[in-house]
Amino acid sequence: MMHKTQTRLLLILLIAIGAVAGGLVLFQRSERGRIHRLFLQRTQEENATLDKLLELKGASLEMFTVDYTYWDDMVRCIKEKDIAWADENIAQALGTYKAQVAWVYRPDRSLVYSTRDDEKSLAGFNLPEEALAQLTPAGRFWHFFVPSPGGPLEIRAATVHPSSDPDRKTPPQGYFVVGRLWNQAYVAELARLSGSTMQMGARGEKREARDEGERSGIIAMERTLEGWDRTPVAVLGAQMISYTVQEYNRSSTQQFGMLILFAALTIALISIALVFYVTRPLSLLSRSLSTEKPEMLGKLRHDKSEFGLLGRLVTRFFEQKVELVKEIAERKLAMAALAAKDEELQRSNTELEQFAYVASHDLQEPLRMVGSYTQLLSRRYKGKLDADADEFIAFAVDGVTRMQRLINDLLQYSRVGTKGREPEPTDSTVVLERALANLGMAIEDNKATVTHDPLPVVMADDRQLEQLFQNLVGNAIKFHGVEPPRIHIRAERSNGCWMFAVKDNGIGIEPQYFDRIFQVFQRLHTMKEYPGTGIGLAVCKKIVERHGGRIWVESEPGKGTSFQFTMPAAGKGQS
Amino acid sequence: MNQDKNGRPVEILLVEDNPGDVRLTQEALKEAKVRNNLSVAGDGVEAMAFLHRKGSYATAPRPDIILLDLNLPRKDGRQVLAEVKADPDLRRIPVVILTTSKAEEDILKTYDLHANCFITKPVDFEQFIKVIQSIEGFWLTIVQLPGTN
Repeated sequence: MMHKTQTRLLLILLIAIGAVAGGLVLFQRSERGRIHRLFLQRTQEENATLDKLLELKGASLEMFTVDYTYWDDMVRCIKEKDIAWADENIAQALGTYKAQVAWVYRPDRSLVYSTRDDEKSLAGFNLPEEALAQLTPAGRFWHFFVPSPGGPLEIRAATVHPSSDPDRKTPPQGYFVVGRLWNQAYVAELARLSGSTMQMGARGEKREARDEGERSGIIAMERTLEGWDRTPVAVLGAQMISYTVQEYNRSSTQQFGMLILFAALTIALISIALVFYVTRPLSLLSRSLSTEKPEMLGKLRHDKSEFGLLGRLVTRFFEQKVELVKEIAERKLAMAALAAKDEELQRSNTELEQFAYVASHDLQEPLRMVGSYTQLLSRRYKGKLDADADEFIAFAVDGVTRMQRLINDLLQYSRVGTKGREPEPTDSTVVLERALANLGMAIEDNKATVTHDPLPVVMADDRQLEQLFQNLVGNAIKFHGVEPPRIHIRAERSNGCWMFAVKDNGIGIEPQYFDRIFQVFQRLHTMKEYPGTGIGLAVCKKIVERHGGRIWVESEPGKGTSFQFTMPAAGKGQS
Repeated sequence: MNQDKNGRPVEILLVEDNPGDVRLTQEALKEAKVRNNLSVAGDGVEAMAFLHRKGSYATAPRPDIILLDLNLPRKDGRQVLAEVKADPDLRRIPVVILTTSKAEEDILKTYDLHANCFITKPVDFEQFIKVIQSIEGFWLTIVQLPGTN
């Protein structure tokens, strides 16, 4: 996984090497083709040259036979067997035509004359019978080779005619045969003239393969010297060195070598560059990332390449990570501190509520004593002491009674926090009906009409919700106006909560008191007008806030009041 | 069988540490119709000694009814209740819990311990007298209790 990129780069490199190698092979092939074509061309040219040379050399011998055979002297020589003439004219001419031997035959192929010159190898040599048999009146010229002790002997022969018949229409008067010996000296001369090395050999002797010739630049040629019956008598081998081909070969090899060297160098350079510029920084980056050691990057961070940028980014990443870790730790600490503070706050709040509860609870006990005994006093001694005593006792009883009510209310208020239950889905219609049942007497006495819309299911402590409805509806009845009280309760959805409204047609409240009415023991009226300790709305506020809601009032004096509060909807998380 | 028909006054054991409440109970009983003999134990230990006639209570009468406060020094009222109801000899004596507590857990706990009834002391004296008279009227007049041997 980590080295995937490197593997890929290696693969690309291998493909590049393959492509270069393929290119080189193609290059070499095309070079070989060119050399091949060049070699072929040169071979053809050399062959043509050799042919021309052989033709030219052969021409003198041919001319010898042609020139001497429409000649009346020759006819006469045959007829009269004029040896002297023959020695004079034929033997002397051998050197001119570069021939070594000559024969003259009658038409019946009986020998008239034969030269006897210096050529020792041909001493006593005659044409073989089969060769002689070739000379027939049907032919005019013959050209073939016969083997001889001195080497292959090139034979040219022609029919003899009078001088008046250069076209040789008349029957032959005899046959004139000349021979040229293809000995070492002749072959050497041929070689010299053609600029090649030559040797005479038997047919099928060693032949250089063409490919070899292409490589070495040596053009090998052969000429078969055929006998009378077209069977080979000997083979002339010629070898030419083509310097063009040789040079071409040499330069091609050199080029090829240089190309290979160049390709190898290039690939090596690319490999080194890849390792240096890609693989090494890559592995550095990946190693430093996986080991989380940015200092490992070293100089790479100052590099101007993308890897340098990456290196700087990695360094920054680690720096930021350190910062982040630090920040997270700090935040965790802060959160822990906050949680601790929150817990502390909650604890102190709970303690305060507990205190209020315990205080009010424990206050009741001595108060009960005071109350009970003042009542006992009033019961036993009313009218038995003086009028002052009766009045004093009455005040004491009244004070105790009020205090008892206050403490009771305070206890009730503190219980909202300490004795509350976990909110759960509660049908507020059912709860309202319960509250209204509790208020049955008050509703009847005041001829109140209480109506409500369909009400939702909310997340609430049902007892506290009941208390809330009871206090609000109770208040609405209590503070009624001239007309019999008409109270309507409705609810509407608002921001994931339910907003309830308890609306009446009572006396209303002055706006400046909107906040005060929710405070503990705050009253707007005298005891005589409206009895009560002023705890009801404070309890309402505490209940609503305990449910994470809000309570407020809208009112117009003389027209009526609407108390609104919110409760969390069922199914939503409560606060 | 259990009361003043034989001419014997009804024996009441009040277990209460607050002298004010003791006196109030006495005053309330004074206005009662039934003749009664009120004994007072100031704490749970004394109450158990009284019931088991130990020490100075060797001649203590067996109560016909026990009025028991819950919050007592030394031995708690709940403990007294548990011991009385665990004792085969004492368990038939009706125990009326008379306390200032209104706590639900207290009510449940004492009924679980087989308290015969649970009454919260009213803050009002008039009410208190009514309650005492009601106890008397119900437990000592209406209810048939097992006879003492």
